[in-house]
Amino acid sequence: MTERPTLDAAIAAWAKTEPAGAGDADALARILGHAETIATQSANPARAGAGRFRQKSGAGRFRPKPGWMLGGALAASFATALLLAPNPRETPGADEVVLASAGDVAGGSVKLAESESGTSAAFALLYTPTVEEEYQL
Amino acid sequence: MHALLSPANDAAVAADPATMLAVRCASGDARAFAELARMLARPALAQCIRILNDRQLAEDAVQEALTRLWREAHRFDPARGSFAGWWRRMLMNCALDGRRRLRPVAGLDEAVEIADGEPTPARAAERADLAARVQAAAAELPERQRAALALFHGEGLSMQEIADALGTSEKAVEGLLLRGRTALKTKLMDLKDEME
Repeated sequence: MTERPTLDAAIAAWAKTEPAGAGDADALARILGHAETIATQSANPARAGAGRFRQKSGAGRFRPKPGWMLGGALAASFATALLLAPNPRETPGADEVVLASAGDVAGGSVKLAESESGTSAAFALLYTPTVEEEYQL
Repeated sequence: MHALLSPANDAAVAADPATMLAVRCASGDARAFAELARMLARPALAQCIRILNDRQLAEDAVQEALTRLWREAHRFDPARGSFAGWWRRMLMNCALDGRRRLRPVAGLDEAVEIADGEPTPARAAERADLAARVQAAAAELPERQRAALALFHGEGLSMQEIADALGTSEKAVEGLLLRGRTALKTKLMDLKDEME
């Protein structure tokens, strides 16, 4: 079969012959001008990537030490606990409240409690109905 | 340690000037890139014109490929393959992708139907030489078939190298070559006397 080698030769001649326009000086000048433009105007990402690589492994990068991290965590926990803990001065304690009077009101036992300071409006009134009152109600 | 700087790649880098320039490009050397572009531009333009059959598209493809080369030079690793193969694949990607983006690809059947209404490319080039008629017939092939034929017959690449360049398998390359050869043979039937 003689056709195959000849066809191969024809294709090879097509594939190896420089097509028209490949040596166009204007086109090559535009291509090289474009290449020069991108090389001078745009930073090579490779350089930026290398910079990032150096930054990751560089000595200038801040690296918190574990001891500092533990101390910081403890301080933050303590500060949070102080902020969230109830203030004992805002609510009267058991020893600050005294029973002002005690007696029977309409047959029931009434217990009055008020703050030690007379100017304070804080007081508590405890009323416990008797069995008869509960029955009438 | 960067792959380009490993001692194992010293021989590969020193053996090929283009590889050496590519390594310098990876470190941001603009002058090395300009020199490498001068080295690659003309053969790349010729290959793209052959594959795309359009000078303007070929010029755009080469510009895009050089842009990618500059931006992705740091990805080139001599230990994983030659610079020629890496660049060839980048160029083919730009050429074929750009072709797809700008113009719909006409299948072989469609190209034949379009050509049927007018004199066949071979008949239109009756007075031209054999190479010109082969060129006219090849112009009707899908660009991937043209690329496979150009890389196989023009650069003498192996199936594996063509597969790497086109981002496909060796089987697919064999299919591209077979279909391309068959189509060319059909289109050049009127050249039977010259072919035999």
